[in-house]
Amino acid sequence: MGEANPGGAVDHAAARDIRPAPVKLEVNGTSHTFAVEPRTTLLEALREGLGLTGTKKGCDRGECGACTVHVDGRRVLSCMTLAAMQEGKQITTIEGLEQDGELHPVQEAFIEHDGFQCGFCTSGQVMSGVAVIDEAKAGWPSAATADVRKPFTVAGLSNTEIRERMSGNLCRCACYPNIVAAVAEAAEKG
Amino acid sequence: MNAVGQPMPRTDGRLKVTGAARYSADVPLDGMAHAAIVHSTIANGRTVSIDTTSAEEAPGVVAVFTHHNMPRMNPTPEPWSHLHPHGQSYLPLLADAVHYAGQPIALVIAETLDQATYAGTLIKVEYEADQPVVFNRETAKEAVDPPPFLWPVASSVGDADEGIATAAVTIDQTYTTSDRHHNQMEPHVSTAVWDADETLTLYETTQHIFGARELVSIVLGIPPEKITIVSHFLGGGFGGKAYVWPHTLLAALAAKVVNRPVRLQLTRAQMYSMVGHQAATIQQVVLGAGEDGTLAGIRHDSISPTPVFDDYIEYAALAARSLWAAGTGIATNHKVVHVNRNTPTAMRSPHEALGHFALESAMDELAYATGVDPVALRLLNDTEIDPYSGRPFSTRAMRECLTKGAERFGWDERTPEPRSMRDGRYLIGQGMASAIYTHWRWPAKARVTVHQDGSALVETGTHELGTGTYTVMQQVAADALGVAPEKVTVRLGDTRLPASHPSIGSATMANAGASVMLAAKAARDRAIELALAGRDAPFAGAEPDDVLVADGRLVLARKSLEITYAELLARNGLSTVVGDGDYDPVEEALGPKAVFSFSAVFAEVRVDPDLGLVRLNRFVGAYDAGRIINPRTARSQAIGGIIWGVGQALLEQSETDPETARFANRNYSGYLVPTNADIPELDVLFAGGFDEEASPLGAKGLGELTAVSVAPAIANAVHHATGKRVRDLPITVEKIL
Amino acid sequence: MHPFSISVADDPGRAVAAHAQDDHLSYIAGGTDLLGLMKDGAAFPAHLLDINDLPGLAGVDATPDGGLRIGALARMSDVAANAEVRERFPVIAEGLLFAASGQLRNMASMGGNIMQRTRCSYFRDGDDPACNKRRPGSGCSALDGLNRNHAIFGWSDACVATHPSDVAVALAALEADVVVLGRAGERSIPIADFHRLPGGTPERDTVLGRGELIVAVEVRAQAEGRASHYLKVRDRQSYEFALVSVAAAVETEGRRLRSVRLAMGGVAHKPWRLTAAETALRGADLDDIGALEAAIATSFTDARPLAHNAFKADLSRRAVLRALQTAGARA
Repeated sequence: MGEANPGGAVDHAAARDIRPAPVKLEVNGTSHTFAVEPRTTLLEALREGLGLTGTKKGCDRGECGACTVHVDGRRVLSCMTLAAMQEGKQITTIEGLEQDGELHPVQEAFIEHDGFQCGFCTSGQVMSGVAVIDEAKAGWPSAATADVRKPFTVAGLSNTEIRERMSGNLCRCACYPNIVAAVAEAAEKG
Repeated sequence: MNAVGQPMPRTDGRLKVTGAARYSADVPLDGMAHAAIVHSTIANGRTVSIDTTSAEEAPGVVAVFTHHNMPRMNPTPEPWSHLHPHGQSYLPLLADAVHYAGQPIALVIAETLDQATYAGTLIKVEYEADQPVVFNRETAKEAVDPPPFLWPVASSVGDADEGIATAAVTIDQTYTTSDRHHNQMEPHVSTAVWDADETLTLYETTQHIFGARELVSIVLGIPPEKITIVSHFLGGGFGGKAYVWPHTLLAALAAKVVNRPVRLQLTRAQMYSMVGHQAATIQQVVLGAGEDGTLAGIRHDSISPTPVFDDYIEYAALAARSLWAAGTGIATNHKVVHVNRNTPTAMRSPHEALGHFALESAMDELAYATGVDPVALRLLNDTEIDPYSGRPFSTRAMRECLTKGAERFGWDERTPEPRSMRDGRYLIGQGMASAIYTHWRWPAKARVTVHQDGSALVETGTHELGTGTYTVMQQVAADALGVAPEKVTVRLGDTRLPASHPSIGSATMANAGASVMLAAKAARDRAIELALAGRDAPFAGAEPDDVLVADGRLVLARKSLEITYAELLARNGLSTVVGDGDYDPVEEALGPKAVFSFSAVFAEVRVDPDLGLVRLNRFVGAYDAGRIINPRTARSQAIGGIIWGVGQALLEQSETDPETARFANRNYSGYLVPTNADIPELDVLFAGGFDEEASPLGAKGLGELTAVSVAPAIANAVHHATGKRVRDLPITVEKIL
Repeated sequence: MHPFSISVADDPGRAVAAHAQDDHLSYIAGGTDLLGLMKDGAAFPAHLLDINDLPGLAGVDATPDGGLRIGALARMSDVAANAEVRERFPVIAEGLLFAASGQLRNMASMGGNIMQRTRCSYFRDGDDPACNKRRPGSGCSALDGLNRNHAIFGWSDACVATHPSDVAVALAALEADVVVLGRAGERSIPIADFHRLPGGTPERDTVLGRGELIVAVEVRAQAEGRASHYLKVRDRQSYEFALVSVAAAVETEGRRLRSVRLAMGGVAHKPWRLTAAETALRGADLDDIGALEAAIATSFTDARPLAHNAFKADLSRRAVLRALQTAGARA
């Protein structure tokens, strides 16, 4: 975490090996080994390398949430990390959320509450929704938590809390109230 | 039980929540190359030299195009029309001229997107730059009269100025709105595939597959039957994907040259300049009224920017033509300023959402000037006759919207004085506004096939942009055929299907929906014929009108006879019966009645007076959109429209750098759209009914309507909360402090 | 992105040595800022050294005396969720929770957070406008351009950008130290000295040099820690950088302020301490709004707003008052 070559220009001679190299990704419980360039983002690797196109590219800058996946059980933005940095990590994408043909409760709740319109942000919303419930169960506070000094429990996952915690996922069709209802129901169920 | 009117969950819901729905960038193709556009960093001038040597030598690069080697294109047809829907007339990579910042000047094709993008950065461009012209209050003084393209530019009914001059009370104010961008979650993408027989398939982000085919055919000079446009799922349109933008043409031409599939996806930043946006407006509204608030005259004038090569008009003053009665007259006019900017386009809700901010803010100012309650003021000036055309409205449930909306909101408990309502440290403000929205009647075709197993297939070249098209078409066909909705499969988004109109202007339910209903009825009628006169006809001798359809059966109730579609087809040795629907309505302007949608919306804001922060507390929208086909998807569209309006009111603006004429924040962190945390509970109610003039389905447009007048309702609420009248959108901290 | 190579660091000393030797090497931890800069042509490392696996740098340790040592690789979300952080220094937890989004907080490291670069729209513009941070000597487009989000304190004609970190503002109020490993071992840099004002060299955000690596942030035990609050004012309710923000930490005796720590974000090229106001507020009654306002105003006499951000001085004073009241209510 030093200065990132401020004001510099790219120097090819200084780069060591820019060629594709094999990386082993554990995606949705399956191990895949394939060659990626060092600059290939996890998003690009999932979509172009593995054909897992459920994960969407909305902004490619970490500003919309459409590319949300889970890495080692945590929600992250796949556009803002490199595939080469995921060696040995457990990655779950929207395609991996169903179990034995059964939708995840958050997926079910999104259908029931009409938590989407065009559906383009939905993969990211669902992946965030699943994580939001886990984070609440783990006692994580949020910016909507009135007093962070006090313990937080999943019982405190109010609609206001859900709104704040889901705010990293933009929805331009703007289904927000339905998304909140879906996450709230899924949280209540389990 | 009828499917229409039921809140059915989306039939494509499972595809969307599992990531299985394939959007245009998700289509897998062998041997595909990726394209990246290099765009101009100046806004006015020309390229003197473009050195592509390093780019061509970069790893993975397949080809580099500039105006020196780009295949030629035919000019886009004039004038603009929905049939010839070019986003802008100026086609890039044909000459060295630069007319706007972000104009494509080179195109790189490479094996991977990273390779194409990086090679693009190696292209060295020398410019000869001139000072660009930008839109502001100074340049607006040079506004000119544009030619019309959708409606007359100016209108005058009666004598507005006379009504204003002799009025007891006048309001004369200027209102301004900002440049805005659609920022659909899904970036525009074109994937072009040429087959050996010179046919072109484009996997396209479009709200208008047939228009895209027509335009591509003209510009590329190939017959339309050689072109297929596919768009099964669209990641949001909002008007921004209604027309063909230059990148589509570049992708198609480049794929031909490199002889392999090419995918060209715009970056988020490029979505600010390579496709349209909503132009800013400077509007003047003058109202003249009696002391009781009765309007005598309305004058509404608007100025908006347009590029040096196109005359795009934001018809902001359109609203004033038909919203309220004015005893003496109504006059409107539009002017444009030519600037160094790409061409604006329709953005939810084009024209109306801009004009209503001005007009319905002015109405609130009139309410305060006369002491008449804002709801009462609107009831007072309501009209059953369209002031512009002189025709009666087909249906106009404005009164119901106002009264039911006010009741649901609890408007009676509002104390009218500004700063009179509080919640602890917060000022509470309540404001309202009404809206009128244009209804479009367009031709549409559909085909419905009933199969031997009793299932049905709907085929029509319309689009799913999030509005629930797959679901509502299923409902419409199911009822017309008398089968269960789950027996109906719907195919959309492919020009090999029957031709339909653009999915814009909230027209799809009323028009494409009508074609589906007609097709399903035609298939049903064919089946009834078989039941009456086919082989071993079960209903022989009965009249067609005696036959009902329900639960997958044809029923002759009088004789307690029935037969399933499946049995009927089997008995006649048929694998299918097919019905074609050809909906060809008279253009709205030529009909006997004026058809519009209406609303009254109510906003409560919470203002932190110390920090200048305005947040929406609650919102009630009451809508007359005719008959509602699916209350669940309709409600979703409505809350989406409200939130779209919240963005317009409080957050969204694309500022232009005065020196470079570039849009300044070409990303989601600088261009602010509402987040989940910005939005409270929203309450939606439907106050309209069946409108036979609007559509055989009785439906009027909804999606656009719901984004109209949110901004003035919020601005009026802010005035109520703070006493400050903000006439410039968005309403940000510095305008409140 | 331009092509680059990447390798994984396994030892802090070797990482520092590699960084010292190679001007074109950049560390990468969460990557949430660096990759954005690279995509927008504002950073060009030829080699990335992935430091995520460096041992011992991800912990959040409550020290026995009541302080904290936060490892540079600790993720924002882990620090914000940590019970001791929340109890001892709520301003840190809030500074983290009001930043970015849940996803980004899971990715971004503490060290990377305080190293993130400005959100000035010209600096972030891939079309490479005049910007002395992007290309030293090219000029500052924001000085006479769009500068609503820019500085009101400490700017120079070369740069009017602000520092975007939220938690750095909290750390500034708490007078934290940034612990840096260099070739000669560790050194502690008071956070007030860590970020720079732009002066004539705005391309440098911090005092860090080649061959240095942030290993931890240390917060000393202090009476003001528990009664602390982070207030972020922004156009949007969530997921946005600050217009202005305030970290306030107080120690009280009854309703009287015994000691006050105040820092602001969104107003300068670095977290901005309001030292004059801190002094003037000492002994003030939390219920005497007029006295509080007058004391706060002493830190704004040298505010120099730009064409589009004159409102920030007024907004800042109001925000400080609010933050002070909220912190005071926690005492």
